[in-house]
Amino acid sequence: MSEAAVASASSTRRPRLSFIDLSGTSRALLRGAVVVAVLVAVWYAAAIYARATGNASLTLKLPYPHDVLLDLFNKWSIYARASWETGSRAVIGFVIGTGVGLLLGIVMIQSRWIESAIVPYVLASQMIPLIALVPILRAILRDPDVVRFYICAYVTFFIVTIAVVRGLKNSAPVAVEMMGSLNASRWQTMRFLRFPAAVPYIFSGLRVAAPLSLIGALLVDFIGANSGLGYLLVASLTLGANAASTTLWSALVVTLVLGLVFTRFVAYLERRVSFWQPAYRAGATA
Amino acid sequence: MSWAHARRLASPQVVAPLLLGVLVIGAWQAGVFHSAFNLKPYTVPYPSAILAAIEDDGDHLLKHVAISLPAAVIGYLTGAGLGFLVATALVRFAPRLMTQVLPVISATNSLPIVALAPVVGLFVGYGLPVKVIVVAFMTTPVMVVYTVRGLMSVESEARELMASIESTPGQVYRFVQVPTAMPFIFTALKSMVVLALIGVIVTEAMRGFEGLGFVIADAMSGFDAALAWLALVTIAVMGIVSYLIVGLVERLVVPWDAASRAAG
Amino acid sequence: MTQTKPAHTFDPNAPVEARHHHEPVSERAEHPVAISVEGVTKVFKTSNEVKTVALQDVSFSIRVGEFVSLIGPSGCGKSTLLRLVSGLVEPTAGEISVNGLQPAEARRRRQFGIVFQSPVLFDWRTVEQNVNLPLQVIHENGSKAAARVDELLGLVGLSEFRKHYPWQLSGGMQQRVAIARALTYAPPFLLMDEPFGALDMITRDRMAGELLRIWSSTPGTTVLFITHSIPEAILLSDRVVVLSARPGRVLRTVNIDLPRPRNERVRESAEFYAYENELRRVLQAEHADKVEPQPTEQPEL
Repeated sequence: MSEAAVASASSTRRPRLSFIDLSGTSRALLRGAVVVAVLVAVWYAAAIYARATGNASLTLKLPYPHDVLLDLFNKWSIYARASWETGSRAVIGFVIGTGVGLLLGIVMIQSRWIESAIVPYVLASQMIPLIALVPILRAILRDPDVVRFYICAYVTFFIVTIAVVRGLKNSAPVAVEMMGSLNASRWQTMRFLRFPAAVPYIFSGLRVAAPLSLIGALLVDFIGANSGLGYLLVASLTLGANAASTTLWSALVVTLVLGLVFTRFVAYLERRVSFWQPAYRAGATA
Repeated sequence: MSWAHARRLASPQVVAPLLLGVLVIGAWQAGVFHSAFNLKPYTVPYPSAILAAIEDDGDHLLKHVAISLPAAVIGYLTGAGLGFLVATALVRFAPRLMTQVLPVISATNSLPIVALAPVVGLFVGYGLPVKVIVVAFMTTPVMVVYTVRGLMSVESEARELMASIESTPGQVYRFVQVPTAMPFIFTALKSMVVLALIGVIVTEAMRGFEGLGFVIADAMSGFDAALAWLALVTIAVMGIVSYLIVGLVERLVVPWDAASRAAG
Repeated sequence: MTQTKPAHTFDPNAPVEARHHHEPVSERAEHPVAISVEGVTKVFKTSNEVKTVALQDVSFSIRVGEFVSLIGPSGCGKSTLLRLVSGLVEPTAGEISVNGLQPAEARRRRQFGIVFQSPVLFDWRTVEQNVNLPLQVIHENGSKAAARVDELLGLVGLSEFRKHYPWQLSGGMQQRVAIARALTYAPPFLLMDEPFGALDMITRDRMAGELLRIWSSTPGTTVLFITHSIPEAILLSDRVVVLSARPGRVLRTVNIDLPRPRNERVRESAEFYAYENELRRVLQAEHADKVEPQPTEQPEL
């Protein structure tokens, strides 16, 4: 019975489904705080140095962090709206792309011919910067919102499709045999084995796709949208006043924070949905 | 031999993608997509028009390739070198610091780093340097993360073996850690290819007056769709060829890994 | 789509009938043949024109309620034989019949519970969800299914761990979950492919005892057990079929006439020793046959 005792000792540590893993989270928060503090300190040092050189244009280009913070505070509604314009479109496109990618992936593995016809193209798409399509889509679709949806969905869907195909085909052969011994139908094998086993693959695809879809939305802003974070970044360059360079820095900070929130959320979802992955296991004896 | 060879050529793996490609391009040329989605030839030209553009704009395009490609390559190599050095420094000299720093570096991987482009451009202008810096910023974290993972993935038995023959840390690094890390490094090098191109194109499309990213944006706004599409195809070819070159180098440098992957 | 009802469904309320396993082997020899393998050959085509003969002209039969082990060196096609019997693989030549059915047909009627060397548990399902999987496949749910899962978890002694995930259990416990899952349909045949091969020796011995206990409480179950451990085969089996190295052929079939119920103590008996020596000699002789002729081909200088 010592075997059971070993397991029951470890079983007091239940699988942690909750995001709030206190020790881990507090350590990550502390680390984040240190990083931010270091960055701010470097920023201050550079800004003070710029002013010490007496170079006026350099001083203009490099505002103090507190100037940027003040700017963010005063004009928060502008930044909030721009974040919403870019962020929400990126997320919606991302979700659409994920859905289409899942469907296409599932369709593809049903037939060897369909799969071998499409796989080379999906693989090649990983080697091509798909966002180069943005200017062309912009000319075809006109509406920048629609372009954002399209490009984010497009970038995501290629990555998700390849992840789904890889995941669905990578079930252990012995597990497939086991389902065979239960005389499970094709659909049951898909539902009980192949699809759950593919979830980690899908998430590792999503982790790559999330920042790319945000970059896609930003690029739409850069070239010819009249709104959004990317527009703020570029517009402040063209206007080029003192206040504008502060805007540039503020927009950059907001963009990076938005990116961090988006990708952290995907990581959080992954932890929730595929908690059983080896990387997330709590209390595993092996 | 020729029979087996012919059979392999006739397998779905070869025939199906070719068939699909011919079908899509044929339908495109026949105007199927144009009538189905109400596309205009001045935004989506026919394949024949894109081909024709090689003759008209080929030289023009090559000039811009000569602007974009070096920026991508220099940025890529900078990112690779810097990433490798940082990873080595962390693993060999600051393993404690590494456990704290690595999560931060891998988090920057998931940020839209191209947003730095306008800020960097503010200081260095919109020539070659801004693109190199942006690409290096985008690629370095990938290299660091994979290289560290590779250097750390040495089995403890191998470490103990090296210890038993009184080898120095430098020898362990050279004879065990670096070879072990090679497959990881090449995985990073492969995923960095597309990042380098993205960095260059986004920077060029955003601002500046030269390079492929600029050509696409400019040609589209001037309704020279054929040129824009030709630039797009060029970028695609650049991406695929670079990827294949990295794969080829991998085969030469780490033949054992390529073989094991082919077998598995 | 309506699922065809499998011919053999479990009935948790069925009376526990006569305990076949406690009869002497000689009496069980009167039982009807359940699995017959006749002249089976299996050739794998690995790649272009390269063929591997995994099994050659293999014949044996298993009677209802018997526990039969297949032993042999690794790569002798033991696992292939199990996959042939369960209809996961088709033979190149020869006949296999399972209760008078083709193996694939028997599998369709859910006559087999299979336990593999690895437990093949789904990491995203708890222990009870893993055991419940076969019931989900036949759209059996509700209190009847829950009762069955309860009963099976009790049988393998894992009732307390029902809410755990497989990766929270030790290797031996994981394999017990796999056994419970294989027994879910109360199948007439239990096929085990080196089920304890990945466990350490101490756990392995205990699991053999567990298996005997589980088998004696599921009367009428016929077991085909694959192993490369001679003592394990003797401890568990009514009969041991010894296979040669590739291509696998039947070298000898040994009846194990030890009294049941058996336990660890039986290992200490003289009879056990004799069986062990006999089986070892058969396997070694085969090895000698293959190795010794070689020097004779080269004349001594």
